[in-house]
Amino acid sequence: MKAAEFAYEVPKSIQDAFVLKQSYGEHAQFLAGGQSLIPAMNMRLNMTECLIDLGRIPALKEIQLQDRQLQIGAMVTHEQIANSALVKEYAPLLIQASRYLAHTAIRNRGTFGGSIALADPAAEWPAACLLLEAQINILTQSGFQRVVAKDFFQGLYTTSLGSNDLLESILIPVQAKEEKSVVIELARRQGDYALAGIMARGSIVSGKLHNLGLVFFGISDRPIRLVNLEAQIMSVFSGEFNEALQKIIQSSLDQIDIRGDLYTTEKAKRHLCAVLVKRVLAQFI
Amino acid sequence: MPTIPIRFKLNGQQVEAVVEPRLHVIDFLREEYELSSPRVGCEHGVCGACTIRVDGQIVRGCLMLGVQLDGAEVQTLEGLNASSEIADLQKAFHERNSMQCGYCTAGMLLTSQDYLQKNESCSRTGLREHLSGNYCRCTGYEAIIDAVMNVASQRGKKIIQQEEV
Repeated sequence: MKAAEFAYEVPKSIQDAFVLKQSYGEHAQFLAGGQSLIPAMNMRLNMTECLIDLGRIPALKEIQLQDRQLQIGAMVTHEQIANSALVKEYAPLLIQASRYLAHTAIRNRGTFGGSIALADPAAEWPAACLLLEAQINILTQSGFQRVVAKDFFQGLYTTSLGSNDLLESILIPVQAKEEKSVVIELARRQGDYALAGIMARGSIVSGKLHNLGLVFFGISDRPIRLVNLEAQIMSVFSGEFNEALQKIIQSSLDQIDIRGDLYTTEKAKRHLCAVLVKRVLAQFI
Repeated sequence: MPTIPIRFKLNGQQVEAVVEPRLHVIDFLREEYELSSPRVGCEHGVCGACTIRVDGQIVRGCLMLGVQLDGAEVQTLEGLNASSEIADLQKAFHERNSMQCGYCTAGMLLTSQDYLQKNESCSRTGLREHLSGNYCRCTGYEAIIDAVMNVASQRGKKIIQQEEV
């Protein structure tokens, strides 16, 4: 459980970090909060030759509001988000999600950008980015690129990030005032990865459900948004949970690619997804 | 392997060291400074036995590199013991017999103190959530929760009664 030897660099600016990565190429990896990378190195699942620590770059640690969007720097910690007045005001779903996110000692080090770049299918932030239609700001050799969350997450620990790219920040469109958001996770222990989780948003206007968004996580190789199910639910939603809704949910869930893991079978996860949708809708009634 | 010079404050004292990048904080503190309270447990961030305080915040020492301590202020249980900051918690753990083997205790004390510092209103459920990242394989947790809640009362916190889940 000890990491193999590696070199260590601590750049002071985004530019320096990027230049360093270009010179090391695939022999180096960026280190964000280290809450997943360091264990992987301790277990020698990852044996990179050099770590480029992004922890001393102040520009990556800021949360700002610009043009109706929250810009969250890659090195903003989970705990920083949980306690941010700006996030509470403009993207309250992130505060709701942060409650489920690991434990305080991990939240103090783990970062928003690190979680996005890792793309763990059971993690909260990728699911939140997908639901809130976030954009990822990436520094590449040909300049800055902006990738929407839907295109960024491509599979199990797989993203559109190029091997020498630097994830700089995440842009989150401000949530509308009248919008309600819900986050529910089913886990064996507070702070554990979810057996199945759901994030949802929507508004009730004169008895009708509008702009419903539903994203599941912890059930497949990436967070999954069910646009068809959203539309079907909105079309029949009458303020109560009925058999028609139950049918729609079941047939929609039957069609998605749910994957079991070591502890929870595919069948159990499919069942839990239906439970989660029901619990979400109860919040809109 | 090249080493990197660092300076940091350890339990109130300014110290200097040279450290190999591959060394995590716990191995570094135990080997270089012979501090025995930060434990080497799972070494992948699950058990919480390595909990220490860096710049006032609790962290997993096994998920941080020694070189990352440069410029930081580090406190271990030895430091909290010397300053008497948690004398009441230590006494309560003793009185309530909140440990058997003691392996998790340093982490439990630091995380419990973090909970008490951050919450003016305390509940057993809230405390359990806060301690959920710290494993104890002896006590069944009940005695630990009792001890910390006793201290919460002694420190004048508002105690919220709620059903435990």
